[in-house]
Amino acid sequence: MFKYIIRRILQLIPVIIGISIVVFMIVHLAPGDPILMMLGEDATPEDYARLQRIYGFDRPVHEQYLRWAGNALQGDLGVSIRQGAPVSYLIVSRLPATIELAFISVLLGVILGIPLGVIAAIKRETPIDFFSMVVALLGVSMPGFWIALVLLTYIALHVGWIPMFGRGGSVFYGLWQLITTFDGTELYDGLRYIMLPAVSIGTAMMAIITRLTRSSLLEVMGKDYIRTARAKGLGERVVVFKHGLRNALLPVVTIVGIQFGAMLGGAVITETVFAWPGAGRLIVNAIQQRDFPIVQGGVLMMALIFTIVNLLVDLSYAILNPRIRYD
Amino acid sequence: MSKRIGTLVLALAMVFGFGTMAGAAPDDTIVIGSGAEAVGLDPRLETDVPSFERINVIMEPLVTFDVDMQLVERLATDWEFSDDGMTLTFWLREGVVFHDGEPFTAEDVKYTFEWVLDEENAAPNRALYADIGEIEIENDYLIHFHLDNPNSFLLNNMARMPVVPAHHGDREDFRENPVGTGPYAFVDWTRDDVMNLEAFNEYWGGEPIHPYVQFRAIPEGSTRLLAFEAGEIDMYQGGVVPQELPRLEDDPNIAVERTPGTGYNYLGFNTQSGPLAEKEVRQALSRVINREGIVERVLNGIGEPGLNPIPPDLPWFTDEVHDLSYDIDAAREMLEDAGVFGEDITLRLYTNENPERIRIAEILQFEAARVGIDIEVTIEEWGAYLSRIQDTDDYDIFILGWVGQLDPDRAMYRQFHTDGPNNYTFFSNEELDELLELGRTLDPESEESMETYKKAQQIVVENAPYGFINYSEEVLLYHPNIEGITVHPYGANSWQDVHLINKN
Amino acid sequence: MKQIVKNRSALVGLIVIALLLFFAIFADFLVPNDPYHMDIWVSYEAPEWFGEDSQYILGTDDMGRCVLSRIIVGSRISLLVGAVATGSSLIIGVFLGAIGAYAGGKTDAVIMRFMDLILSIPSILLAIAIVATLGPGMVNAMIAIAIVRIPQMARVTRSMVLSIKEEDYVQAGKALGFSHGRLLFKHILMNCFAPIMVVATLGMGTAIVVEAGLSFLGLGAQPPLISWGRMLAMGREAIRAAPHMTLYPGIAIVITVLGFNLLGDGLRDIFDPQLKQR
Repeated sequence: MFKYIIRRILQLIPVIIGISIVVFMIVHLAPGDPILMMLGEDATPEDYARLQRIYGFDRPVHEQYLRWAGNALQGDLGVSIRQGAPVSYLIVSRLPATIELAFISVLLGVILGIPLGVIAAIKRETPIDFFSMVVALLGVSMPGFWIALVLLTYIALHVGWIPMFGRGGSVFYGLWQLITTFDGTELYDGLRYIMLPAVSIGTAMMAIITRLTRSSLLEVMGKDYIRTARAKGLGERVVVFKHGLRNALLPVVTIVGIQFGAMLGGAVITETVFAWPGAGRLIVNAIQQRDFPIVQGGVLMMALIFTIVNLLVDLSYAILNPRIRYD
Repeated sequence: MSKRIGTLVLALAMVFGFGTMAGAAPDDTIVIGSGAEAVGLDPRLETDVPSFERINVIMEPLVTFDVDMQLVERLATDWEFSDDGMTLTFWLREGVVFHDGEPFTAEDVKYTFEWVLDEENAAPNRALYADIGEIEIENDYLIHFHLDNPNSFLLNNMARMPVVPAHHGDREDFRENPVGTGPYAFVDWTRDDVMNLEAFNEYWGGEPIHPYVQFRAIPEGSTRLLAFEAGEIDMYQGGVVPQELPRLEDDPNIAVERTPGTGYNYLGFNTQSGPLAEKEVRQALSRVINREGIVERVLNGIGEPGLNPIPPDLPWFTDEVHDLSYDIDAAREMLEDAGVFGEDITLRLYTNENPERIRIAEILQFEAARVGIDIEVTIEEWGAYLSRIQDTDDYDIFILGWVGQLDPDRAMYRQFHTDGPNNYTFFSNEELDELLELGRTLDPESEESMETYKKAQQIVVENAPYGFINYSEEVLLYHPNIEGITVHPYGANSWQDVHLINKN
Repeated sequence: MKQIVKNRSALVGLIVIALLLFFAIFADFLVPNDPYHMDIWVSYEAPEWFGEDSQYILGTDDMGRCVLSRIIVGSRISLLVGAVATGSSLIIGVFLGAIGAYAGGKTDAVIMRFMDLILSIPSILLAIAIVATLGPGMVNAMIAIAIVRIPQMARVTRSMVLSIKEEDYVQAGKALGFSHGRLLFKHILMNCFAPIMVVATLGMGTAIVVEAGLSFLGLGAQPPLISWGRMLAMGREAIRAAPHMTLYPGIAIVITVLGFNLLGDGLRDIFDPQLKQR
């Protein structure tokens, strides 16, 4: 197990190098030019050449890459060309909002999705099953921006204490505060603001988890060892929850891990609609402005977090199914 | 234990119960919504309107535009061009202090413009001030700008450059933590979320009425409107969802103010290649633009049908130009006369992901098909689109807009002069070039200037490098409990007088 | 085929899909109005179900075009995107995931790290990059959607195969000296069918929805092509003034996704005889 973790961490190195090259290539080869985006409408070709030289974009691409990668190795992701601030600072300051939103959304999806999926599987081909399917499909067939706008228009506009946009406080910190000082104001503020964004992301999450749990559980319930368990005279509940669900959760955990990771950089549309100050918006704004250092550093950082989350997911297989060995 | 449960119950009650409009804007703060976050707060480095919306509250230029687009004093109390037009003199306001208590003097003015002009610095708008030669300080409150070339419109450009304090300007974090002379001082800023300002009580124009101002960046138009209707922001200007405008104007609880803007949207034609190299084809294409329909239905009445490159409110505007109004039959005839009607003409039109522009592209595609022209629409992401237009000639038609057309030089030289930096249509006309060069040397208020630019407009419209679509209009939304706000034609200057706003 | 008819959900799903295909193929004959004809003076007209001369049953869109006709014609692109993008990501993803899990060791590591690489680049950036390299348009949007979705298919498959490969019957097969191909494709993959099918059928919906997101960025279907996603993206500004512009294309997407899922469920039951014995 320990050896496996070490090996996976070593495998991270080529992935990160690969990502850094791919991202660097993409931003430099795709059309779009940071200097053009920065220059005002009045700029002359001389201005262009001058700024290109100042920011070092007149050098060959491989030279730019090596310089950037060398600095990145020492922990220096460079300075944003549009905002003038260090990239690592910009990204780290956005991560709490992003991770919190991803976490709460996934939590919402899991809390609602797994029970719904289990019930649907047990009550297979009954109205309950059908109902759970329709709910799930509604979730997955509506684009995020549409769910968000519907929530805003039909709920937030009529319920005074639900805000339209922005982030009030930190839910994690609020929870800590509630536990340590019995002060719930920060938590209340945090929850108020995170509610709608989390619901609009969580809906799709829930849909996927519900469907996957149901099918996976049905699949597992047909397996030999379940039949053995039944034959041993174990109660149906024990069979479903102890033997069935545990094995059925394997693909569910996989998807949850992927979704959690994808949400770090991918909840952009929801972040935009709710004006949520997350990292996804930072990176996509940077893409639009061709702020290369932020795009490069941001994607690299996201990739790092993402691979770590997925390493944890892979490790959790062993807990869910002890027969899986890491060799 | 019971205490803990009590708190938990309380917290739950707060979460699920009644927080009575806790999202509403606080009474002592004016909350301003904005369509985009500022890039930064250093006037020397920024080029976008959202940045200047905020900068113009914190810092001030020498002169500025009032709501009638007249140049008025700000940090300068008077100014004068020398008779030969080669020296511009400013008398500066005395007794002005920066937010840190230091006095404002001519040194700060000199520092700001010299920094911009220094080629070692990354000032993207340097070209606007390139005609400035030597800057001479006569005393703390009298400064002369000696020009290398006469430029009648230099003042308009200087109105876009707030003064940076010399003793802060080289500070590394100035862009995130600026100091100025404006009515509100910078407090803190969480990017993509909120920027807090507080009243500067020693402001030369008098103590601001409200103690705090907050800028909130809300990129999605529908969300911004909803946040405004819910009272979470007090006001915003620009980017009002057109489809909602009729309802808002009927709502007694919402104040809507509108004024003609400083820009326009247009179709740009590549005048150097393909069928569009023919003037007649460009004119015909201009005649299939359903301007009235676009303004009335796509923009819900925001703006006016476009005619020429100068907004109708500027004194140089003329409507005595070649008639290229919407007329499908006339367009067909023109194509027949040019001998291209019935030929398979396919033109590639590019635009970016802006929904209004996509709609305009679709309408044009439909109308052009009626005169036998096939238009292939490609929607590109903004960065890629901009590169295509600015770096290549790989397009037949593009849709773009201009803002801040404050004078005829800004509105025409860059776009239509053969060597203009923004001549994306590759238009070249000797007579026009001469007129535009002449215009720069004339007194802007003289009859000669009017005549020169009238001729220039006629040439531009007749040769149709652009198909003008619509003039822009600025729309300001606020709640009736706000007093003392007027819509500004130039979005960047919207909040420069926010210290006079009162919220009951 | 007999089994499909016997299975209720498969039958309903099949009927829904058949109807959709019918609409897509014969769209030109079924539309009440010309879906491309615009008259901006009648834009944003509300639906009129039972009017005297209800020309526009589902109302008109932002440019006065018939929403119903556009939904019918739009089914072509949306079904195509869903099918092609999901299909290709399914084939590639399952293949890679299965090979990786079955072979284990270096092969697995290389494949999965490669998947990580794709996954960890935010999909919008990836989409922009792909479309920027290939140019915007329908085909390239499909390629972008497919590439973005491959890792997910691969990972789900891999996790299933990892689990199944330890099953007794596989071990027995191994002991009996079955070839790798036979073991992997006949014994293992057939048993992973259920979750893969679910992810794939759900993926149909996701693909259509992702196309909406791309259209939102202008990178999806280019005008005058009509896709449901583009209809949603263009209608979102008018969500309060003219909700019918987004409501009906939305319903069309839900019905389509429902159809594919019903079929997926049914197919799974049919292919999974173990369930029948219960």
